[in-house]
Amino acid sequence: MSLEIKRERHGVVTVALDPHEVMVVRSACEQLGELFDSRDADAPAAGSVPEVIPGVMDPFADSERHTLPEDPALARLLPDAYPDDPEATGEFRRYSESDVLAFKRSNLQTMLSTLGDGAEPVRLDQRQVQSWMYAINDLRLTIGTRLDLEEGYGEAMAALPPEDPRLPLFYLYEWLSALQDGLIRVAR
Amino acid sequence: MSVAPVELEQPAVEGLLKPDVPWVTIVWNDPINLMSYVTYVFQTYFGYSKKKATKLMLDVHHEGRAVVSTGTREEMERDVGAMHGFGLWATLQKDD
Repeated sequence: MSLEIKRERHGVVTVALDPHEVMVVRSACEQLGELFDSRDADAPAAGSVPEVIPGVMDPFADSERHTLPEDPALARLLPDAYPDDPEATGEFRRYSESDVLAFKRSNLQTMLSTLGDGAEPVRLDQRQVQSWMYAINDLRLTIGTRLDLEEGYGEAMAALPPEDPRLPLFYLYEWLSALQDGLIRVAR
Repeated sequence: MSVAPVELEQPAVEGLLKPDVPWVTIVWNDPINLMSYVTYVFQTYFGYSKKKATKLMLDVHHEGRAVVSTGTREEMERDVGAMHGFGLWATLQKDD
């Protein structure tokens, strides 16, 4: 898979992807979107929590949404802000988490809408270059967490037998790493 | 007749006069984020020079963590939220 990233005049960047690459990246982006959506599902269903005082929602009913996500990839994307204070972290999630997700969703949407079909190079302005960079980072974090990558993972992955089912996902991860690095080089 | 003045509680007065303890934002090392990316985030979000951003990134990489900003608790919550948006692993705590 080749990867041509060029900087043109006025900060415009072109990225040459082939149709297969576009298809794979688009699929990965759509799955990331579903992962974001699954966080909304962490909120308890209405009526599932008994009312303590009739007509008043249990004040702790929200608490499931304001704890570390159970999904490890989502937990990596939305980590605890206070290392030793679950209550402060819960409050932080209550007020800030939706902004963090909105930012990630916005970058993902920009990437999806500018991906094209591989027929010709993608043309991006600097803001779109940044969005791609941030969305690709979320993709790498998600895939990396799924693969359970740790420090020095390069050697561990190189030692896998060629038929190991993790390898295709790791190749995608490496390809995204190269794409991200290329975008960082041409970003202003 | 006058009423004796109420005794002011010492701790309450001390609390008013002490300056706010500064808070810090800490970025932690992780195996996934590219060094070039972490440096880019430090430059663009905090406005640090490439030299300072690179130094902080290397601190994170070699020491496992680095303080990347200081300020009020509110300001640090804002910075931590931004770091999470970019995919960095960040926390905040009192500076001590």
